[in-house]
Amino acid sequence: MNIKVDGRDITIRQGVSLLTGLLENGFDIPNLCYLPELEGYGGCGLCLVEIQGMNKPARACAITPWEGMEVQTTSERIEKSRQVSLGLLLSDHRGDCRPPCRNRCPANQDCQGYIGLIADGQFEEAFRLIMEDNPLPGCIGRVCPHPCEEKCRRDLLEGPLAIMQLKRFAADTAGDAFVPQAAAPTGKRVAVVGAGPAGLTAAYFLARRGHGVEIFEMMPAPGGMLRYGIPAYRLSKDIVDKETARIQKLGVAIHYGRKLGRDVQLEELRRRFDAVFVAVGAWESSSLGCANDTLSGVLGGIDFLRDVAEGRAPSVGERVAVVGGGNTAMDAVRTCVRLGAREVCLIYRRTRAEMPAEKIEIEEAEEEGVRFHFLVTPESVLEQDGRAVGLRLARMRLGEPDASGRRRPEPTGETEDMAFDTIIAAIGQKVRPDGIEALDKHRWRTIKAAEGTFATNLEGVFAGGDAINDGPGIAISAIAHGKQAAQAIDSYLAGALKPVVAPFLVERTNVTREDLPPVAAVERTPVQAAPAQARVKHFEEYVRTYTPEEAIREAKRCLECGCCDLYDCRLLPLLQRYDAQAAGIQGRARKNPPDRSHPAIWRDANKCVLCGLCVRACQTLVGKTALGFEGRGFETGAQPAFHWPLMESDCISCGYCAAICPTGALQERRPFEKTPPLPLEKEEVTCTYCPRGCRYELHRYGSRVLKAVPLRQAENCSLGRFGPVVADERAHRFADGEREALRKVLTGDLRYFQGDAQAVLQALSL
Amino acid sequence: MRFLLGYGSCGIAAGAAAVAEALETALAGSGHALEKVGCNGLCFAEPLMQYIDDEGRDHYYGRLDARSAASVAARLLAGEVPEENLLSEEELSFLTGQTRIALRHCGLIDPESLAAYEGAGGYRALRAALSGTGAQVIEQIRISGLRGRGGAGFPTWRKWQAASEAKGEKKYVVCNADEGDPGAFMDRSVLEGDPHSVLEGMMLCGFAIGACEGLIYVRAEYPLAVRRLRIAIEQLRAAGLLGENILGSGFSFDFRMMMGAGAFVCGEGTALLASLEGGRGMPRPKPPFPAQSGYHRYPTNINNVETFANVPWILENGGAAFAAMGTADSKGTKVFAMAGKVKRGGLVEVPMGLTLRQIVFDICGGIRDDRPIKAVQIGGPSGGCLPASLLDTPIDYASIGATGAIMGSGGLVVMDDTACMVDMARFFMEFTSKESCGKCTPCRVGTTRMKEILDRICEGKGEPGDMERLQGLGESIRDSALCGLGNSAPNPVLTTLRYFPEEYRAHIQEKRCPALSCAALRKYRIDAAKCVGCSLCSRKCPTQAISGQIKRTYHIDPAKCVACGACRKACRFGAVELYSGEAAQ
Repeated sequence: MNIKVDGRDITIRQGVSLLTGLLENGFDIPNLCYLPELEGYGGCGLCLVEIQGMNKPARACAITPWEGMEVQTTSERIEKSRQVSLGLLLSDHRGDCRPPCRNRCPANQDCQGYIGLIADGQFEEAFRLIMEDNPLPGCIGRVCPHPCEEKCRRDLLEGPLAIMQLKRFAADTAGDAFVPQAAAPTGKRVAVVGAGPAGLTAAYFLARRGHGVEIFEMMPAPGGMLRYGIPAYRLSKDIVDKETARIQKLGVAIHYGRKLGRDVQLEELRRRFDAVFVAVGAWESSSLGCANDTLSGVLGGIDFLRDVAEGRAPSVGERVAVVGGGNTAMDAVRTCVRLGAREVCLIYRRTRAEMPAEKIEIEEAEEEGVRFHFLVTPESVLEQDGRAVGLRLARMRLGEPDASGRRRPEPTGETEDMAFDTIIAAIGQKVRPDGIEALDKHRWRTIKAAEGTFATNLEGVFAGGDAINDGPGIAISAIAHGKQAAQAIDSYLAGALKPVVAPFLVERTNVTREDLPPVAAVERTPVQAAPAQARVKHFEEYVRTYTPEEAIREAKRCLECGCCDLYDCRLLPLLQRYDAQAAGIQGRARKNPPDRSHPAIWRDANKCVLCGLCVRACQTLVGKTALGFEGRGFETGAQPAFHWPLMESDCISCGYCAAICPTGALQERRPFEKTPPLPLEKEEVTCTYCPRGCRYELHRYGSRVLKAVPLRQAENCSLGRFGPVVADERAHRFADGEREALRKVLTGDLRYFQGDAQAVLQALSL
Repeated sequence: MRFLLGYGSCGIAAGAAAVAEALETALAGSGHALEKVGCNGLCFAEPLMQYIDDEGRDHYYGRLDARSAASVAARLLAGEVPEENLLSEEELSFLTGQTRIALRHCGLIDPESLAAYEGAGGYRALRAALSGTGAQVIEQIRISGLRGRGGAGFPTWRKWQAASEAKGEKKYVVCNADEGDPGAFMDRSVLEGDPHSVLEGMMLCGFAIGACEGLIYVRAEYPLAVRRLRIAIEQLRAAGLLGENILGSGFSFDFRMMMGAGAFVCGEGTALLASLEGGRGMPRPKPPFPAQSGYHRYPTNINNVETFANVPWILENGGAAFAAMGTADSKGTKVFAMAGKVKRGGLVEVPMGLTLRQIVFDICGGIRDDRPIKAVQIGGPSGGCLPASLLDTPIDYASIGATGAIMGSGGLVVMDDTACMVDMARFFMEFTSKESCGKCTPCRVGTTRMKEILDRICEGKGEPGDMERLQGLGESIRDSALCGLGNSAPNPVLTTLRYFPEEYRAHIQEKRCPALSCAALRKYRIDAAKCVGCSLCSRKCPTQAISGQIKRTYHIDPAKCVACGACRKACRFGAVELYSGEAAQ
C-alpha cells in the first residue's frame, strides 16, 4: 500500500497499523504502549500524527492506513502534546534511574553495577565495569573520601555500604591481563601535561577512542599527588605503577622529567599536537601567613609529603607541629609519627567538629598518638639563631557561621607559646604559574576552563584537575575531569566541540526508612586494619583488602536503589528527548509497595506508566490473567487480582511482561543475588531446549549470559526465557566433575529440569 | 375526569407514594381511578397531580402531601376547583413555553401500559415502516435533520446509513441509557415516563439498518427505568411485536438489557461497547467507528435515549415536520434538565434556536430570590461555563460550540452571584478525574493535575503561572486524550479561564474569592456598628473563636475561626459579615 509521509512516498505492508508501517519504514515515532502483535491501544498518546482530512492529530497505532493517505509525522501541536504527556507521566513516575551513590560520585561510577557483580561473584566483570568510568580503581579504592557512601540509603538502616572498599577489592582481585579495547586509530594526537589522576584518566579515555596520546610529566614517576601527596601507608606506590602500566598498554607514552615551562613549552605542544590537555595540579604549599613563616624549620605540607615520597625525608626532630585541619594535615602528622617524631601536634583554629579531614583519618591519627590543639592559630613563628623553635599561638573562640556554614574562629586576645623543632603548614595548595602564562586565570591563580568543555582561552588547549577553576579537589573529581575532558576533546577532534552535559534522570528525594524494601539487618563488614602500635613503625599499607567472602557479604547489602531497567528503559530517552517538565504539576503520587515475592519478576507499580502492555500481552498472547486493570481515574493500576502477590496469580513465569514493560515497573530478576543494570551485548541465537527452535536474543556481560529474550512472543516460555541464564550461572559455578550435568543443560536435555518449568523456577529461587 | 399523578423516581422521592395512597383512598368508589404516570418535568412542584376535567381542561396541583392531596381530590370530586395547591398561570408558563416531542407522552400516559402507548398513537410508525423499506426510514430521518442528542450531535441518518451499508453477518442497535452527567435526568424521565417510544425508535432503527437485536445499556442506578423497560419489552413480546418475522414483515428483532455499574466513561460509545461485551469499560481509538466494527465487531448503531424517542414522532409526522422546527443546522427540539438557582427547575423541551435567556427567564422564571445571574454551565462536566453576557446565544450546535462549550446531553446548571467559577471548574474537574478510565495519560494524569492546581487555587495557594499551566494542560488534554470524556474534560476550566479570568486572578494574586464561596478564603468578622453584644454568636461558635463582653462588641479570632458560618446564621442583627481577601480587612 502506498502512502505519503512528510512529503515522501512510501510503501507499507498490507494489514498493519499505520504506526507499524511507519516504524518499519524507519520513521522515528515515539511510543510506549505499542507492540506489533497487539491491537492498537491508544493509551500513551505519543504516536500522534497529522492525517490529511482529519482535524485532530490521530494515534498512528490505531489507524488502519488507506491507499494514498497523507501523513505528517510532526507538527507544533504534536510536539507540544508529546511534551505535555511525557511531563504528566514524569509527574507520576517515582523511582531512581540511577542510584544515589552513582549520582553523587563526581565521576558517576556505576557503584550499583560493580557491587551487584561482586555480590554475584563476578569479580572480573565488576573490574571491567569499573574501568568504564575510572582507570585508577586501586588508587581510588584506597584514598577516596567516598561521597557516594554519604548518599547510600543503607545508611538509613545499619550504615552505608563500604563502596570504596568494594572497589579496592575489585581492583586488587583483577588480574593484570585485562586491557580495555581501544578504537581504531584516528590519527589525531593529544599531548597531556601531568601524569596525575586527571592527566592519566584523560589519556586513558582518549587512547580508548583511538587517539595517540603522549604525557609530559615533570616528576620521575607517575601518579601526581596520588604518588607524591598521599603517603605510602595509605596508597602503596605499586598500585599507582600497576594502574599506570595498564594505561600505557593502550599505547599511551609518558615522558618523565619534562616540566612545562622548563623542558617543554605550551606553544610547542600546540604546534606538535592536535590538542593539549593541561593537568598540572597545584604543587605549591600555602604559607602560614604569619611573622617568620619563611624560617628554616618551617615546611610546606605538600613539599614535605613529596620529599618523604621521594625518599628524601627531612629530619623533623622530636616535636613537630602541623598546622591545618584537612586531609593533607592528617597525612603530614601521621607521616611525622612514622618518621619517629616523639611528639606530633596538630594545630587547628576551630574544633574537631569543623575539621574538613575524614573522620577515620582523625580517629586513626589519634590512635597513633597525635595530639590535637584546637581553637589556636599561629600568631608568629618563634625564632632562635635563625631557626624556627616554636609557635606563638593565638587562642580562638567560635563566632557566627561564615559562608561555608562553619562557625568562624575569632581571636580571644590570649596567646600561648609552644616549642617545636619542625613546623609544617598544611593549610592549602596553589597552582604554580610555570609554563601556563598564556592561559587566562582566576584571581586565585587557577586556570579558567569552561564548564562542560574544559576549554581554555587558547584554541585546542583544555585543562582539568586541581589546576582549574575552584582549585584542588579530591582525586575522583580529577578523574571526572579527565574523563569528561577526554569526551570534550574527542568531540573537538571530530570537528565540533560539544560540552559534556549531565543527563536528565529521575530521582527520588526525601527517601525515608519506610520507603526502603524490607531487608534483614546486616551490619557493615568491618575492615581489617593493623593496630596503631604496629602500623606506625613503617610506611606499608595497614588496611587489608576484603577477602572474597567479606566482599560478597558486604556487596549483598546493596539495596539496588537504581532502576534495574536503566539501559532498557523506553521512557527515559523520551523524557530527555522531549525535555519533559513536571514543574508546577507535581501532585500526589501513587504509592505502592514494591512486590519482590516473585523469583523472576519484580513489580514496582510506582514506575508504571499504565501502557497496559503487560495486561494485554498476558491476556491475549499468553492466555493468562496474571495482571489486570483495576481502579478508576488516577488510581488505575495494573495489578494481580485482589492485589495479591504476582506468584499467587495464574502467572506462568514466562517473563514476557517484564521483557515488554517499557519502564522498570516489571523488572526481570536474574537467578543471582543482584540484578544490576548493565550495558549488555546482544546476540541472536536459536533455543535448543525443544525442537521448535525458537529465536532468542542472548544478552551477555563479559563472559556471562544474563538475559534471554524471545524475539517473538509466541516463542516465549519460562524454560527458554530463564534456562540459558540458569545454565550459564551453573557453568561458572560447577566444579569440573559436574560438567556432564552441565553439558546436558546446554544441549537442552530437558530431563535436567524434569522437562518442566517448575524446575527452572526452583533454580531461580536459589 | 382524569387524575394523573407524576410517579417517576423524582416524584416518588418527593413523596408521591404517600400522595398516591391518599388519592386512591379519596377516589375509591368515585368511579375514577388514579393514573400513575411518568414525570412531566415540573420538578419544582412535585409531588404533582394533573387533573383533566370533563371539558379537557388541565389543572395542576403541585407540592402535594397526603393531607392536601386528599382534600383537593375530595373537593374536585365534589365539583369544586380548589385554589389551594393549584399552580398559577405564571408557574405554568414553564409548561406552556415548551414544545414536546421526545417528552410527548411523559406525564400523560401510563408508562406500564402498551395499550396506553398505542392509544396515543404508539407503534403506528413502526407498523407503517414495516410495509416499506429501511431506506425510506433513513430518508425521513435525513429529511428531519435529527442529530444525536447524547452530546456530540452527529447527524443520525449518517450513522444509520453507514450501519446499513456496513457488511456484517449480524448487526446491532444499541441504546445508550447510561446517563451519567451530574444534574442530568432527561433520559431517565423518558425511560420512566414513556419506555415504549424508545423501544419503537430502536426497532425503527433496527429495521432501517437491518439489525437483529437491540441492546439497551442502562444505569443500574435507574431501577424504575429498568423495571418499566422490562415490562414494556415483555408487553411487546406478548403482543407479538417482537421475535421472528414481526407482523409478517420478515423483520426479526428482539431486545436485551444490560445494566451499567455506574462508570461515567461507559456513556462513551466504545467504552459502552466494551462494557456490553463484558470487558472493562475503556474506550478505544476511533476509527473504526462502531458502525463499521461495534458490538463483538459487528456493525452497530449507537444512539442515546432522547434520539430514539424522537424517531417514532418523525416517522409518524414526517421528517419535514421535525425539520420545520429549529435552526439551519439544528433541527427539532432539545430537552434540558434545568438545575441550579432558577425559580423553576425541571425538564424543558424547546425548539432549537431559543436563547439561553428565554429558557432561564421566560420558562424557568429567572433566578431564585431575584439575585443576578452569573453563569450557565451547559453540557455537564464535558460542557462549558457561559457568562451572563452570552445569555442571548441561541441554542444550536454551532452557536454553543462557538462559545467553547458544547451542547452536551442537556444539563443546564444556572448559577447566581454566590457561585465561584473556579470552585465550579474544580468540582467538574474532580468529577472527570475520578471518572477517567485510566487508559490514556492526558486524561488519567492530566485531569488529576488540573484538579490539583484548581484545589490549590481555591485554597489560596495558587502560584503565579497556574492560569497558563491550566490553559496549556487543558488544550493539550483536549487535543490528545483518547475519547470524548478526556477531550471535553477541560472544557469547564477552559471556558471559565476565558470568561472569568479576573476571578482566577483574584484567587491567585489576592487570595480572595470574589463570590465568598471558597471555604479557605472565606472569613467572618463582626461589624461593630451593628453588634449589640448579645453574645449569641460566641455561644454558637464551635471553636470558641468569638470573645467579648456582654453589651460590648464581640470579636472573631481569625486564628481559631474555621469559617463554618454558625455565627452569621445565629446573629439576629446582621452584624456578622462575610468577606474574602486581605484588602477587605
